[in-house]
Amino acid sequence: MHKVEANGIQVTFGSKVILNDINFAIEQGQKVSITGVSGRGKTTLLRILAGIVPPNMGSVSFDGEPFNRQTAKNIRSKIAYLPQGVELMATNGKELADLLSIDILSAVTILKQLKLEKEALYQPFADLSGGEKQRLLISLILSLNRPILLLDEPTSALDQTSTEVLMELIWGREELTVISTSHSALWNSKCHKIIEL
Amino acid sequence: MSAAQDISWVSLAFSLLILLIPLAGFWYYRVGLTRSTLIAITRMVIQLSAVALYLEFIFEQNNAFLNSAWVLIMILVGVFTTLKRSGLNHRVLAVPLVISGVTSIVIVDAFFLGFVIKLPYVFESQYFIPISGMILGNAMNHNIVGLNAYFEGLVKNQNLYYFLLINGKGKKAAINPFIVQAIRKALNPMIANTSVMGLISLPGMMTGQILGGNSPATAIRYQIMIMLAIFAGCSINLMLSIMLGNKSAFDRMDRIAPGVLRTKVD
Repeated sequence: MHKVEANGIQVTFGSKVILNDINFAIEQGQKVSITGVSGRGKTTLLRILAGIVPPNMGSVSFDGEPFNRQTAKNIRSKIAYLPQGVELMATNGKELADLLSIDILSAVTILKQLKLEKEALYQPFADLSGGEKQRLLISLILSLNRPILLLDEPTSALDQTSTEVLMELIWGREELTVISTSHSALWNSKCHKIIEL
Repeated sequence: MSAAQDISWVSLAFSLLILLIPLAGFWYYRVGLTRSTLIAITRMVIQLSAVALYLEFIFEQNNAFLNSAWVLIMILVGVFTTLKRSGLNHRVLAVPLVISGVTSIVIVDAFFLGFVIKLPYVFESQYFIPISGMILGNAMNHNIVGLNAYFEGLVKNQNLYYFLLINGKGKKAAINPFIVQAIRKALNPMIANTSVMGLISLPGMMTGQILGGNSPATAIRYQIMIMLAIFAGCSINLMLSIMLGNKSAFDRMDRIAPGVLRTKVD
Protein backbone atom coordinates (compact mmCIF):
# COMPACT_ATOMS: atom_id res chain seq x y z
CA MET A 1 0.00 0.00 0.00
CA HIS A 2 1.43 3.33 -1.06
CA LYS A 3 0.91 6.32 1.16
CA VAL A 4 1.89 9.94 0.59
CA GLU A 5 2.11 12.27 3.58
CA ALA A 6 2.91 15.95 4.03
CA ASN A 7 3.68 17.29 7.48
CA GLY A 8 3.83 21.00 8.29
CA ILE A 9 4.99 22.11 4.84
CA GLN A 10 6.00 25.74 4.70
CA VAL A 11 7.50 27.57 1.73
CA THR A 12 8.54 31.20 1.58
CA PHE A 13 9.97 33.16 -1.34
CA GLY A 14 11.76 36.11 0.25
CA SER A 15 9.33 37.55 2.77
CA LYS A 16 6.28 36.12 1.00
CA VAL A 17 4.76 32.99 2.54
CA ILE A 18 3.60 30.75 -0.30
CA LEU A 19 2.57 27.67 1.67
CA ASN A 20 1.95 27.59 5.39
CA ASP A 21 1.55 24.50 7.56
CA ILE A 22 0.23 22.13 4.89
CA ASN A 23 -0.68 18.69 6.19
CA PHE A 24 -2.32 15.76 4.44
CA ALA A 25 -2.23 12.01 4.00
CA ILE A 26 -3.13 10.31 0.73
CA GLU A 27 -3.86 6.60 0.57
CA GLN A 28 -3.14 4.35 -2.38
CA GLY A 29 -5.73 4.65 -5.16
CA GLN A 30 -7.00 8.05 -4.11
CA LYS A 31 -7.43 10.71 -6.77
CA VAL A 32 -6.61 14.07 -5.21
CA SER A 33 -6.78 17.60 -6.55
CA ILE A 34 -4.91 20.60 -5.19
CA THR A 35 -7.05 23.67 -5.81
CA GLY A 36 -6.90 27.38 -5.22
CA VAL A 37 -6.61 30.61 -7.14
CA SER A 38 -3.46 31.38 -9.15
CA GLY A 39 -0.39 32.15 -7.08
CA ARG A 40 -1.47 30.12 -4.04
CA GLY A 41 1.32 27.58 -4.53
CA LYS A 42 -0.45 24.62 -6.22
CA THR A 43 2.42 23.96 -8.61
CA THR A 44 4.96 24.57 -5.84
CA LEU A 45 3.28 21.94 -3.65
CA LEU A 46 3.35 19.45 -6.52
CA ARG A 47 7.03 20.25 -7.09
CA ILE A 48 7.70 19.63 -3.38
CA LEU A 49 6.03 16.22 -3.71
CA ALA A 50 8.25 15.50 -6.72
CA GLY A 51 11.33 16.47 -4.70
CA ILE A 52 12.14 19.42 -6.97
CA VAL A 53 11.58 22.23 -4.47
CA PRO A 54 12.81 21.84 -0.90
CA PRO A 55 10.32 23.18 1.66
CA ASN A 56 11.60 25.72 4.19
CA MET A 57 9.91 23.72 6.93
CA GLY A 58 8.14 20.39 7.16
CA SER A 59 8.59 17.16 5.26
CA VAL A 60 7.08 14.85 2.69
CA SER A 61 7.15 11.09 2.98
CA PHE A 62 6.25 8.22 0.70
CA ASP A 63 5.33 4.94 2.39
CA GLY A 64 6.76 6.33 5.62
CA GLU A 65 10.10 7.17 3.98
CA PRO A 66 11.00 10.86 4.21
CA PHE A 67 12.01 12.44 0.88
CA ASN A 68 15.72 13.21 1.23
CA ARG A 69 18.93 12.59 -0.64
CA GLN A 70 19.23 9.02 0.56
CA THR A 71 15.70 8.10 -0.49
CA ALA A 72 15.23 10.39 -3.53
CA LYS A 73 16.13 7.79 -6.15
CA ASN A 74 13.88 5.14 -4.67
CA ILE A 75 10.93 7.50 -4.17
CA ARG A 76 11.25 8.99 -7.66
CA SER A 77 11.14 5.50 -9.13
CA LYS A 78 7.56 5.26 -7.81
CA ILE A 79 6.48 8.59 -9.29
CA ALA A 80 5.50 9.70 -12.76
CA TYR A 81 5.43 13.48 -13.13
CA LEU A 82 3.89 15.74 -15.75
CA PRO A 83 4.75 19.41 -15.29
CA GLN A 84 3.07 22.19 -17.21
CA GLY A 85 4.63 23.66 -20.34
CA VAL A 86 7.33 21.10 -21.01
CA GLU A 87 9.26 22.47 -23.97
CA LEU A 88 10.34 19.34 -25.68
CA MET A 89 13.74 19.01 -27.26
CA ALA A 90 12.71 15.72 -28.81
CA THR A 91 11.17 15.93 -32.28
CA ASN A 92 8.25 13.61 -31.65
CA GLY A 93 6.64 11.25 -29.15
CA LYS A 94 8.64 8.26 -30.33
CA GLU A 95 11.92 10.07 -29.67
CA LEU A 96 10.69 11.09 -26.22
CA ALA A 97 9.52 7.54 -25.51
CA ASP A 98 13.00 6.28 -26.41
CA LEU A 99 14.56 8.85 -24.06
CA LEU A 100 12.36 7.56 -21.25
CA SER A 101 12.83 3.89 -22.25
CA ILE A 102 9.08 3.48 -22.67
CA ASP A 103 7.62 0.38 -24.27
CA ILE A 104 6.02 1.66 -27.50
CA LEU A 105 3.34 -1.05 -27.63
CA SER A 106 2.11 -0.09 -24.20
CA ALA A 107 2.13 3.61 -25.16
CA VAL A 108 0.15 2.90 -28.33
CA THR A 109 -2.49 0.98 -26.35
CA ILE A 110 -2.99 3.94 -24.02
CA LEU A 111 -2.92 6.40 -26.92
CA LYS A 112 -5.82 4.52 -28.48
CA GLN A 113 -7.73 4.57 -25.20
CA LEU A 114 -7.29 8.35 -25.26
CA LYS A 115 -8.68 8.42 -28.84
CA LEU A 116 -5.37 9.17 -30.51
CA GLU A 117 -3.93 7.20 -33.40
CA LYS A 118 -0.55 5.50 -33.29
CA GLU A 119 0.66 8.00 -35.92
CA ALA A 120 0.52 10.76 -33.27
CA LEU A 121 3.67 9.23 -31.79
CA TYR A 122 5.60 9.89 -34.98
CA GLN A 123 4.17 13.33 -35.79
CA PRO A 124 6.40 16.32 -34.99
CA PHE A 125 5.24 17.99 -31.76
CA ALA A 126 4.87 21.23 -33.68
CA ASP A 127 2.13 19.62 -35.80
CA LEU A 128 0.07 18.45 -32.81
CA SER A 129 -2.61 20.58 -31.19
CA GLY A 130 -2.29 21.47 -27.48
CA GLY A 131 -4.85 18.80 -26.56
CA GLU A 132 -3.19 16.11 -28.68
CA LYS A 133 0.21 16.91 -27.19
CA GLN A 134 -1.22 16.75 -23.66
CA ARG A 135 -2.89 13.38 -24.29
CA LEU A 136 0.30 12.07 -25.88
CA LEU A 137 2.41 13.10 -22.86
CA ILE A 138 -0.12 11.59 -20.44
CA SER A 139 -0.14 8.33 -22.36
CA LEU A 140 3.66 8.22 -22.24
CA ILE A 141 3.85 8.71 -18.49
CA LEU A 142 0.98 6.27 -17.90
CA SER A 143 3.04 3.72 -19.87
CA LEU A 144 5.70 3.96 -17.20
CA ASN A 145 3.36 2.05 -14.89
CA ARG A 146 4.44 3.96 -11.80
CA PRO A 147 2.08 3.71 -8.81
CA ILE A 148 1.88 7.48 -8.13
CA LEU A 149 1.07 10.16 -10.70
CA LEU A 150 1.79 13.84 -10.13
CA LEU A 151 -0.06 15.88 -12.77
CA ASP A 152 0.12 19.66 -13.11
CA GLU A 153 -3.05 20.86 -14.87
CA PRO A 154 -3.54 17.65 -16.86
CA THR A 155 -6.76 18.87 -18.49
CA SER A 156 -5.75 22.47 -19.27
CA ALA A 157 -5.75 21.90 -23.05
CA LEU A 158 -8.53 19.29 -23.18
CA ASP A 159 -12.17 19.77 -24.14
CA GLN A 160 -14.92 18.18 -22.05
CA THR A 161 -15.07 14.96 -24.11
CA SER A 162 -11.30 14.43 -23.95
CA THR A 163 -11.37 15.20 -20.21
CA GLU A 164 -14.08 12.56 -19.68
CA VAL A 165 -12.10 9.98 -21.71
CA LEU A 166 -8.94 10.71 -19.69
CA MET A 167 -10.85 10.51 -16.40
CA GLU A 168 -12.42 7.19 -17.38
CA LEU A 169 -8.95 5.80 -18.05
CA ILE A 170 -7.37 7.17 -14.86
CA TRP A 171 -10.29 6.42 -12.52
CA GLY A 172 -10.42 2.96 -14.07
CA ARG A 173 -6.99 2.26 -12.58
CA GLU A 174 -8.17 1.83 -9.03
CA GLU A 175 -4.75 1.13 -7.55
CA LEU A 176 -3.23 4.27 -9.11
CA THR A 177 -2.69 7.23 -6.79
CA VAL A 178 -3.09 10.58 -8.56
CA ILE A 179 -2.19 13.96 -7.12
CA SER A 180 -3.04 16.79 -9.47
CA THR A 181 -3.62 20.48 -9.72
CA SER A 182 -6.67 21.33 -11.78
CA HIS A 183 -9.10 24.11 -12.55
CA SER A 184 -11.53 21.63 -14.14
CA ALA A 185 -14.78 21.43 -12.16
CA LEU A 186 -15.49 18.03 -13.71
CA TRP A 187 -12.10 16.64 -12.69
CA ASN A 188 -12.32 18.10 -9.19
CA SER A 189 -15.89 16.85 -8.67
CA LYS A 190 -14.76 13.23 -9.06
CA CYS A 191 -11.68 13.48 -6.84
CA HIS A 192 -11.66 11.61 -3.53
CA LYS A 193 -9.98 14.50 -1.81
CA ILE A 194 -9.51 18.21 -2.44
CA ILE A 195 -6.59 20.08 -0.90
CA GLU A 196 -7.68 23.69 -0.90
CA LEU A 197 -4.87 26.24 -0.70
CA MET B 1 62.49 32.97 -47.86
CA SER B 2 63.26 36.27 -46.12
CA ALA B 3 62.04 37.37 -42.69
CA ALA B 4 58.98 39.64 -42.51
CA GLN B 5 59.42 43.32 -43.42
CA ASP B 6 59.37 45.25 -40.15
CA ILE B 7 56.61 47.83 -39.53
CA SER B 8 57.69 51.06 -37.90
CA TRP B 9 55.59 52.67 -35.14
CA VAL B 10 54.95 55.62 -37.47
CA SER B 11 53.63 53.29 -40.17
CA LEU B 12 51.51 51.49 -37.61
CA ALA B 13 50.04 54.81 -36.45
CA PHE B 14 49.39 55.66 -40.12
CA SER B 15 47.44 52.36 -40.48
CA LEU B 16 44.83 53.69 -38.04
CA LEU B 17 43.69 56.04 -40.79
CA ILE B 18 41.93 53.12 -42.52
CA LEU B 19 39.42 53.21 -39.65
CA LEU B 20 38.06 56.48 -40.98
CA ILE B 21 36.14 54.58 -43.65
CA PRO B 22 34.15 52.24 -41.35
CA LEU B 23 33.68 55.04 -38.80
CA ALA B 24 32.28 57.29 -41.55
CA GLY B 25 29.91 54.46 -42.44
CA PHE B 26 28.84 54.09 -38.78
CA TRP B 27 28.21 57.84 -38.62
CA TYR B 28 26.26 57.85 -41.89
CA TYR B 29 24.00 54.96 -40.83
CA ARG B 30 23.78 56.13 -37.19
CA VAL B 31 24.92 52.66 -36.07
CA GLY B 32 26.00 53.87 -32.64
CA LEU B 33 29.19 51.78 -32.60
CA THR B 34 31.74 54.59 -32.94
CA ARG B 35 32.50 54.95 -29.23
CA SER B 36 32.74 51.22 -28.53
CA THR B 37 34.92 50.73 -31.62
CA LEU B 38 37.34 53.44 -30.52
CA ILE B 39 37.48 52.04 -26.97
CA ALA B 40 38.02 48.49 -28.27
CA ILE B 41 40.83 49.55 -30.60
CA THR B 42 42.51 51.68 -27.92
CA ARG B 43 42.33 48.75 -25.49
CA MET B 44 43.69 46.39 -28.12
CA VAL B 45 46.66 48.65 -28.87
CA ILE B 46 47.49 49.16 -25.18
CA GLN B 47 47.03 45.48 -24.26
CA LEU B 48 49.09 44.19 -27.17
CA SER B 49 51.85 46.74 -26.56
CA ALA B 50 52.01 45.76 -22.91
CA VAL B 51 51.95 42.07 -23.81
CA ALA B 52 54.74 42.63 -26.36
CA LEU B 53 56.92 44.11 -23.65
CA TYR B 54 56.15 41.28 -21.24
CA LEU B 55 56.56 38.60 -23.92
CA GLU B 56 59.94 40.00 -24.95
CA PHE B 57 60.95 39.64 -21.31
CA ILE B 58 59.65 36.10 -20.85
CA PHE B 59 60.97 34.99 -24.24
CA GLU B 60 64.39 36.18 -23.10
CA GLN B 61 64.09 34.33 -19.78
CA ASN B 62 62.52 31.21 -21.34
CA ASN B 63 61.77 29.92 -17.86
CA ALA B 64 59.27 27.06 -17.35
CA PHE B 65 57.77 28.65 -14.24
CA LEU B 66 57.33 32.08 -15.85
CA ASN B 67 55.89 30.60 -19.04
CA SER B 68 53.44 28.43 -17.10
CA ALA B 69 52.43 31.41 -14.97
CA TRP B 70 51.69 33.39 -18.14
CA VAL B 71 49.55 30.56 -19.53
CA LEU B 72 47.76 30.30 -16.19
CA ILE B 73 46.98 34.03 -16.36
CA MET B 74 45.57 33.50 -19.87
CA ILE B 75 43.41 30.66 -18.50
CA LEU B 76 42.11 32.80 -15.64
CA VAL B 77 41.30 35.75 -17.90
CA GLY B 78 39.57 33.34 -20.31
CA VAL B 79 37.51 31.76 -17.52
CA PHE B 80 36.32 35.04 -16.06
CA THR B 81 35.53 36.44 -19.51
CA THR B 82 33.58 33.26 -20.28
CA LEU B 83 31.62 33.50 -17.03
CA LYS B 84 30.87 37.17 -17.59
CA ARG B 85 29.83 36.79 -21.23
CA SER B 86 27.75 33.68 -20.67
CA GLY B 87 25.93 35.09 -17.63
CA LEU B 88 27.11 32.31 -15.30
CA ASN B 89 27.85 32.57 -11.61
CA HIS B 90 31.55 32.85 -10.67
CA ARG B 91 31.00 31.27 -7.27
CA VAL B 92 29.44 28.13 -8.74
CA LEU B 93 31.50 27.62 -11.87
CA ALA B 94 34.88 29.40 -11.66
CA VAL B 95 36.78 26.49 -10.07
CA PRO B 96 35.45 23.80 -12.48
CA LEU B 97 36.25 26.02 -15.46
CA VAL B 98 39.80 26.76 -14.29
CA ILE B 99 40.43 23.03 -13.75
CA SER B 100 39.02 22.29 -17.23
CA GLY B 101 41.20 24.99 -18.81
CA VAL B 102 44.38 23.75 -17.13
CA THR B 103 43.62 20.09 -17.90
CA SER B 104 42.85 20.69 -21.57
CA ILE B 105 46.03 22.75 -22.04
CA VAL B 106 48.19 20.15 -20.28
CA ILE B 107 46.78 17.34 -22.47
CA VAL B 108 46.94 19.20 -25.79
CA ASP B 109 50.31 20.92 -25.22
CA ALA B 110 51.93 17.74 -23.94
CA PHE B 111 50.65 15.83 -26.96
CA PHE B 112 51.52 18.35 -29.67
CA LEU B 113 54.67 19.94 -28.25
CA GLY B 114 56.07 16.77 -26.72
CA PHE B 115 55.00 14.05 -29.11
CA VAL B 116 54.21 15.75 -32.43
CA ILE B 117 56.79 18.56 -32.69
CA LYS B 118 59.06 16.58 -30.32
CA LEU B 119 60.47 19.63 -28.58
CA PRO B 120 63.32 18.76 -26.21
CA TYR B 121 61.92 21.39 -23.84
CA VAL B 122 58.09 21.61 -23.97
CA PHE B 123 58.00 24.93 -22.10
CA GLU B 124 59.98 26.59 -24.92
CA SER B 125 58.32 30.00 -24.92
CA GLN B 126 58.42 30.38 -28.71
CA TYR B 127 56.03 27.39 -28.98
CA PHE B 128 54.39 26.97 -25.60
CA ILE B 129 52.96 30.49 -25.29
CA PRO B 130 51.57 31.17 -28.79
CA ILE B 131 50.12 27.68 -29.22
CA SER B 132 48.53 27.73 -25.76
CA GLY B 133 47.21 31.21 -26.52
CA MET B 134 45.60 30.13 -29.77
CA ILE B 135 43.95 27.15 -28.08
CA LEU B 136 42.73 29.20 -25.12
CA GLY B 137 41.43 32.08 -27.25
CA ASN B 138 39.36 29.70 -29.34
CA ALA B 139 38.27 27.66 -26.33
CA MET B 140 36.97 30.79 -24.64
CA ASN B 141 34.77 31.67 -27.62
CA HIS B 142 33.36 28.16 -27.85
CA ASN B 143 32.88 27.88 -24.08
CA ILE B 144 30.88 31.11 -24.03
CA VAL B 145 28.45 29.67 -26.57
CA GLY B 146 28.40 26.12 -25.23
CA LEU B 147 28.19 26.84 -21.50
CA ASN B 148 25.57 29.51 -21.98
CA ALA B 149 23.48 27.14 -24.13
CA TYR B 150 23.84 24.35 -21.56
CA PHE B 151 23.26 26.11 -18.25
CA GLU B 152 20.74 28.67 -19.50
CA GLY B 153 18.95 25.87 -21.36
CA LEU B 154 18.75 23.84 -18.15
CA VAL B 155 17.47 26.72 -16.03
CA LYS B 156 15.02 28.09 -18.58
CA ASN B 157 13.75 24.67 -19.56
CA GLN B 158 13.91 23.09 -16.13
CA ASN B 159 10.43 21.60 -16.52
CA LEU B 160 11.84 19.37 -19.24
CA TYR B 161 14.87 18.47 -17.11
CA TYR B 162 12.67 17.43 -14.17
CA PHE B 163 10.27 15.64 -16.51
CA LEU B 164 13.20 13.57 -17.82
CA LEU B 165 14.80 13.19 -14.37
CA ILE B 166 11.71 11.81 -12.66
CA ASN B 167 10.17 9.83 -15.51
CA GLY B 168 13.44 8.64 -17.02
CA LYS B 169 16.56 6.95 -15.85
CA GLY B 170 18.11 9.58 -13.61
CA LYS B 171 20.23 12.69 -13.92
CA LYS B 172 22.73 11.41 -16.47
CA ALA B 173 19.97 10.63 -18.96
CA ALA B 174 18.04 13.81 -18.11
CA ILE B 175 20.95 16.17 -18.81
CA ASN B 176 22.09 14.38 -21.94
CA PRO B 177 19.79 16.21 -24.43
CA PHE B 178 20.95 19.54 -22.96
CA ILE B 179 24.61 18.54 -23.31
CA VAL B 180 24.12 17.36 -26.89
CA GLN B 181 22.43 20.63 -27.81
CA ALA B 182 25.15 22.74 -26.18
CA ILE B 183 28.06 20.86 -27.75
CA ARG B 184 26.44 21.02 -31.18
CA LYS B 185 25.77 24.72 -30.86
CA ALA B 186 29.34 25.44 -29.74
CA LEU B 187 31.31 23.18 -32.02
CA ASN B 188 29.28 23.17 -35.25
CA PRO B 189 30.69 26.52 -36.43
CA MET B 190 34.24 25.27 -35.83
CA ILE B 191 33.55 22.07 -37.76
CA ALA B 192 32.14 24.15 -40.63
CA ASN B 193 35.16 26.47 -40.46
CA THR B 194 37.56 23.51 -40.47
CA SER B 195 35.91 22.02 -43.54
CA VAL B 196 36.45 25.19 -45.61
CA MET B 197 39.91 25.98 -44.24
CA GLY B 198 42.08 27.31 -47.06
CA LEU B 199 39.09 27.81 -49.36
CA ILE B 200 37.17 30.70 -47.83
CA SER B 201 38.87 31.22 -44.48
CA LEU B 202 42.43 32.47 -44.19
CA PRO B 203 44.49 30.38 -41.80
CA GLY B 204 46.09 32.78 -39.33
CA MET B 205 49.03 30.68 -38.24
CA MET B 206 49.94 29.78 -41.82
CA THR B 207 49.93 33.45 -42.80
CA GLY B 208 52.11 34.27 -39.80
CA GLN B 209 54.59 31.52 -40.66
CA ILE B 210 54.88 32.60 -44.29
CA LEU B 211 55.31 36.25 -43.26
CA GLY B 212 57.93 35.06 -40.79
CA GLY B 213 59.95 33.54 -43.64
CA ASN B 214 59.00 29.86 -43.45
CA SER B 215 58.21 27.79 -46.54
CA PRO B 216 54.51 27.23 -47.40
CA ALA B 217 54.98 23.48 -46.85
CA THR B 218 56.14 24.01 -43.25
CA ALA B 219 53.45 26.66 -42.76
CA ILE B 220 50.75 24.23 -43.89
CA ARG B 221 51.97 21.47 -41.57
CA TYR B 222 51.88 23.90 -38.65
CA GLN B 223 48.45 25.10 -39.71
CA ILE B 224 47.07 21.55 -39.79
CA MET B 225 48.64 20.86 -36.41
CA ILE B 226 47.23 24.00 -34.83
CA MET B 227 43.77 23.27 -36.26
CA LEU B 228 43.88 19.82 -34.66
CA ALA B 229 45.17 21.31 -31.40
CA ILE B 230 42.42 23.94 -31.37
CA PHE B 231 39.70 21.43 -32.18
CA ALA B 232 40.90 18.98 -29.52
CA GLY B 233 41.55 21.74 -26.97
CA CYS B 234 38.15 23.38 -27.41
CA SER B 235 36.25 20.09 -27.34
CA ILE B 236 38.09 18.77 -24.28
CA ASN B 237 37.74 22.09 -22.48
CA LEU B 238 34.00 22.40 -23.17
CA MET B 239 33.14 18.81 -22.30
CA LEU B 240 35.25 18.92 -19.13
CA SER B 241 33.72 22.26 -18.14
CA ILE B 242 30.24 20.77 -18.44
CA MET B 243 31.25 17.59 -16.65
CA LEU B 244 32.97 19.38 -13.74
CA GLY B 245 30.45 22.22 -13.73
CA ASN B 246 27.69 19.67 -13.18
CA LYS B 247 29.26 18.75 -9.83
CA SER B 248 28.47 22.18 -8.44
CA ALA B 249 25.43 23.03 -10.58
CA PHE B 250 23.24 20.37 -8.95
CA ASP B 251 22.55 19.52 -5.34
CA ARG B 252 22.64 16.02 -3.89
CA MET B 253 19.03 15.41 -4.87
CA ASP B 254 19.89 16.29 -8.50
CA ARG B 255 18.02 19.58 -8.31
CA ILE B 256 19.45 22.52 -10.25
CA ALA B 257 21.34 24.58 -7.68
CA PRO B 258 19.99 28.09 -7.16
CA GLY B 259 22.23 30.82 -8.56
CA VAL B 260 23.82 28.93 -11.46
CA LEU B 261 22.99 31.90 -13.65
CA ARG B 262 24.19 35.31 -12.54
CA THR B 263 21.10 36.93 -13.95
CA LYS B 264 17.63 35.74 -13.04
CA VAL B 265 15.80 34.01 -15.87
CA ASP B 266 12.06 34.68 -16.20
